[in-house]
Amino acid sequence: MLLAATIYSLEDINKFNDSGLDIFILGNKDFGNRLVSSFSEEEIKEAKLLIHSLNKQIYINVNLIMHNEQIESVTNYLTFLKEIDVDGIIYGDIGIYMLAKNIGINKLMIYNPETLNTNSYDQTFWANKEILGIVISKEITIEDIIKISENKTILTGIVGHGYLNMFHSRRPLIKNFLTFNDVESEPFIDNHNLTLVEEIRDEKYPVIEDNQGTHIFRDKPMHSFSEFDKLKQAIDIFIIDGIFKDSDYLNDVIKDYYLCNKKDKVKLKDKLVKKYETDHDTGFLYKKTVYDKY
Amino acid sequence: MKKPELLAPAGDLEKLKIALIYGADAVYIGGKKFSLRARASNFEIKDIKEAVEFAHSLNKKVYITTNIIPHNDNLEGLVEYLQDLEKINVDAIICASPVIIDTALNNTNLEVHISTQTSTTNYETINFFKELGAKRVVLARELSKTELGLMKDNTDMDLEVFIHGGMCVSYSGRCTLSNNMTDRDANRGGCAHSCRWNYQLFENDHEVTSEIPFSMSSKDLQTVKHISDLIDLGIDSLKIEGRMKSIHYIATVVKTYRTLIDDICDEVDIDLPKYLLEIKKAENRLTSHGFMEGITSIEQQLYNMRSENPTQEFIGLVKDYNEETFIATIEQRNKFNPGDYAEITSPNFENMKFKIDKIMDEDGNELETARHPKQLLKIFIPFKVNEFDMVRKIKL
Repeated sequence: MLLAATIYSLEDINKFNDSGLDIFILGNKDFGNRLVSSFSEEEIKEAKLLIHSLNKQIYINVNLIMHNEQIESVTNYLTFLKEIDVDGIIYGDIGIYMLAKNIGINKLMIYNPETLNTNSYDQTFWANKEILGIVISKEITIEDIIKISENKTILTGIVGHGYLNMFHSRRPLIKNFLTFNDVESEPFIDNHNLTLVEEIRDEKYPVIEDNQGTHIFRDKPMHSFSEFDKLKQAIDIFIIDGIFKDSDYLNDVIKDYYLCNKKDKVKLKDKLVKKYETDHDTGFLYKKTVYDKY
Repeated sequence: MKKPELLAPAGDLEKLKIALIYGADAVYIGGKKFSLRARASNFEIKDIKEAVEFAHSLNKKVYITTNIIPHNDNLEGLVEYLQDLEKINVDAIICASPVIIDTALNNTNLEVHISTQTSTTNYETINFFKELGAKRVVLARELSKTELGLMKDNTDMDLEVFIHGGMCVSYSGRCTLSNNMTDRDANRGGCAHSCRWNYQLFENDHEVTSEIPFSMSSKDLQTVKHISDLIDLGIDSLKIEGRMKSIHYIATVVKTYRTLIDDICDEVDIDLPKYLLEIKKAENRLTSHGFMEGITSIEQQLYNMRSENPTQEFIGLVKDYNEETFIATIEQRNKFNPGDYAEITSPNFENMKFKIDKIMDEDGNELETARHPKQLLKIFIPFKVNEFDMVRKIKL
């Protein structure tokens, strides 16, 4: 299994490489959603050279929900990524797979729609489309993750650590709300310090509005320290998403997972919680959602 | 000018009949399996068969939603279920998950429509589903008329567009608010509508504004003013949302759009205020045109809890009419009294008003008021009405 993580800046590359990271995930805000940082084409070229010189891999997040008027610019972007020879492209919109197929890079594509890869057939289906891999949906239990991975023929990953997204609207919901209340909205766009609290709950859900719409996240970042050994046997890529944290936090987390098999896993989590004053949970790994009886 | 299909929801057999009688060309229903409304469904295979036979007798269609995003343990019986649907001649299934799409295509001759749960927002995705063998895509609700035009220009696939009803504020299929906040899986029919709740917005520990709660709740979609454009674009099917809505809602909404589509295609002068007034009678939440004109603004959001109630109240469903005595038998739906003013809405004629005189029970006893739901009552109506016509209380 390879460890993958988002990076905050090009300086992270050597640092995270030393900590044991295998795959570096970058993106640009015009083509990627919920990124920790936005990298220009020049920066991505530079990152690619450095990452390949370290014998590591570079993945690019092109996970926008693509609207018709973006087809041309996304095609150009995919062509650029093909030319500079990245190792993987993460997409969440099937239209982007079609564009990639047209320019002959379907074998670089990793499908991560976040909510739609939920059963074993999704693995088979996308394997038949000759892509590089899929990322299993975030609301799937560890039991099902293992089952889905059993007969895999393409790379299969999960997002195993970080704040998971739980909502994406095309609507500018923060701007609209503030405009309605006569509050200047500009300081609150692309602002990573905002949270929503529901009226009868205590949890604080991070929320961002950007040029792709409005995104709401789980209140706690997930971790998989105790499950890491089991997951290692099942999946190929373990993704760490650093959104709402920083480079130091990410570096600690990468090191922790890299050395996870040699350490006390409960202590790893407790140390992280204490150092960064952030509680973590295990997401949906043990939480079966209901749908017919409640 | 190509006349688009008018597609309506039906939560049960009565609603299905109402939708078709009031002018829908097709209805969509959820069975007890693989549907996002499975929990509330009344449709066993035998009921779906009855629905299909009824629709086909009117040369109309029935589509079955099999639109869940299944996990591994939700797939038992899928092939058999789809084969059963094929045997009873349903006209199509509406689905989103590859396992359901491929199972249908590989094991049956069912026509496959791709659900809005896939949030299809571009023509490349449409063409992907075409290559798979689907016949139609139900497009995402986040598309403007300009985008719809671009899509129509770049595919020959059948396109279905939502024109009326409740809206997910999230891209459909991409939301797990409910999963996270209530452990209920939105993509398997458990949505708790957490997007309709009240929130506070903080920056760090400071509340950004406390004037009113933060709300992301969407107004319902209503596109009376846009139907003409959608017809010009060549959209193949215009879809109304609301499998949980009442028969009065279904009748009113379907009839309004039916008349509007017919009038546009017959090139009759369109009196938009008339249609807007009529559709308002079914409104139980404020409405807007959604994304028809592009990215939404405050006009598309609900910022207070107050929703306007319908100004007209549905008081009875006509079951029978005696042309000699002018006495109609109606089934009570809301309280009314002698002396109330009422109007009849009917699939067969424009709304007609009358004053309610005496109200009698089935045995001819005169009643002071009609207060019992579903009680059969007899009232005098001075013009011919038909089974399935509806009586609304109005203020003159």
